[in-house]
Amino acid sequence: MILSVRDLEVTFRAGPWFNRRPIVAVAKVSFDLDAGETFAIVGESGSGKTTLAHAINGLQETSNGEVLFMDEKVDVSRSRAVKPLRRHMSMMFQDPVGSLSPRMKVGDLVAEPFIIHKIRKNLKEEVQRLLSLVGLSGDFADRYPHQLSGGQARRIGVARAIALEPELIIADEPTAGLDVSVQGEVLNLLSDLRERLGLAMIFISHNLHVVHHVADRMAVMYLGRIVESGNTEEIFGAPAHPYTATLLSAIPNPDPDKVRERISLSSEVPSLLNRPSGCEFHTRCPWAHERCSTESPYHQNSGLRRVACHAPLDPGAQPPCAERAG
Amino acid sequence: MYEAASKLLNSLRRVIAEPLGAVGLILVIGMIAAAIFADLLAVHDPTSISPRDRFMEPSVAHLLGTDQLGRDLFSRVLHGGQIALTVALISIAVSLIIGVVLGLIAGYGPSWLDNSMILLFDAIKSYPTVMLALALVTLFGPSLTAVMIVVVLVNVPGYARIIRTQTLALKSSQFVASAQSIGASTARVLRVHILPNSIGPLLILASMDIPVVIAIEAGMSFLGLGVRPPTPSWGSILNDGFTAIRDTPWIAIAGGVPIILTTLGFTFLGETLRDIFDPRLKTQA
Repeated sequence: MILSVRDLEVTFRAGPWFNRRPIVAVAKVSFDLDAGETFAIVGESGSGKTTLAHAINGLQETSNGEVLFMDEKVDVSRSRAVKPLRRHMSMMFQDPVGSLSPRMKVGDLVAEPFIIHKIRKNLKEEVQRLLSLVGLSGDFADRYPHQLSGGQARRIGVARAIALEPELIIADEPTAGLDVSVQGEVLNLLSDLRERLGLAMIFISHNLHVVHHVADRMAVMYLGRIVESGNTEEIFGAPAHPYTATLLSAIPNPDPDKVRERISLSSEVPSLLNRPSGCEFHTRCPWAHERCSTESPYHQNSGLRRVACHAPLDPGAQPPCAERAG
Repeated sequence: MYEAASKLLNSLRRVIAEPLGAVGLILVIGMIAAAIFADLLAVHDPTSISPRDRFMEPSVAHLLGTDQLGRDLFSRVLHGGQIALTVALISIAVSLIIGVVLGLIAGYGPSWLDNSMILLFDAIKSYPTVMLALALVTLFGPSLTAVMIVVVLVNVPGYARIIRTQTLALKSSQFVASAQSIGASTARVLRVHILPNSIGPLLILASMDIPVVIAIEAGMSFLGLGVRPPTPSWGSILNDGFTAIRDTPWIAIAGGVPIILTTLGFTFLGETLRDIFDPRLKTQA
């Protein structure tokens, strides 16, 4: 086991000083990750995916729980202790161009991990090697980030992330903002490197197609909680949580003959400042019954497949209420 | 070493390639050269009084004429330039260093520190320059050092505020998070990622402040708080000329034109340098 996240909680404070209210962005998240495994985290915008990624990397202070990486605690308040861990864990950020320092040349950006960790190597050679590894020619070393396309910038992000041959890469929306053909290229590059270097990956995305394609296991987040987690194939085959079923039913299907019932949700995502009681999905759940609005299901954890629901769905279940179903 | 020199030469070439930059560079170099070689260029003693030669029009003997005490204006302008440039460059450089350090601390540090520093900056800024000058001169006596301390006090809050604002905006940017996720120390984040991205506007402001400083020096010299009378300064020459501007305009011109040319020179140079050092504004070669 390379990474273990235990009851992780991230709380922000919002509002004027006389009325500070806590916003729980990530609530009681637990999961484990084995070496070489790819774990996907999916969920809609604002579900706490990125905050969770930052917390795992030690960029975000946590209010509860702990992150153990290679049996060491990732503790934001002790930056000296976190620094050696970061040699083995790297991160790719959402915005491909925005995550590259605008006044540094690509060569310096790719060499930065070696400089920070004081690894003596022939940096020029190393930069050329990494650039060719991510499929870019050596001339790119003299370019500035603003002279790169989104796909090229993403490749530089990949080069930076794999420079120190980490055990774990946290990829936050690695395909966001790229057009479909470039998305494919980046994904192939990532899975290629993953096989060659044997690295584990946390893959954050809201692109379910991509997740199905790359992840061994996955977790679905809703309002900062993991509502369902398990083997990717199993979840895609038979989603047990109504929210997962809703997400999966929203995937556009390229096959015109295959008509799939789409489950649509009527109401908006509840505010994090005003979390619903009981099961937090009950305000939108087509299958919700009385018990859901009072009793919290978030303790039902057993085995590899975890579902936080009072009444997990049977395979192929259709929503009961006609007016809620689309 | 070689690389640094070739880099400098390269940027110099690019400054000259811009018409504004070339004009600015010529003016600035001319002013600095005139100040450095003032003793060689000025044939007359800038402080020797000769009542018989007072209010003489520009001629071959006195290139810019003479003032109300018969002192050669050309010599006075050259020596005044020495003082003006020394005061301006030293005090701006000191203000920049202090302002950048304080701004980075305020912007990157905890919010209580930021708030108290901003309060202090605003408190200093709320004093009129002349009041500060008077207070300092009462404490230390009139001198060039007093002028420079006033300039530093007046400039640091503004400089620090600019860097602070930029730092605040940049510290939550993804490239800073990216550097932190690799393990970059706070010092490295500030030095390599935040400072180069925030100093541009400050350098422009500072280069445009040089003439302001020259004006502060002139103003204080006029009030007797800076350079004292026999020593020449552009400000005091300009002020000497004011009283007699109808009859003998060349005195005011001799004091005013160098101020204008220096202002233009540093402004042009500053703007060109900004264009060159911001790769986003760079045109593809």
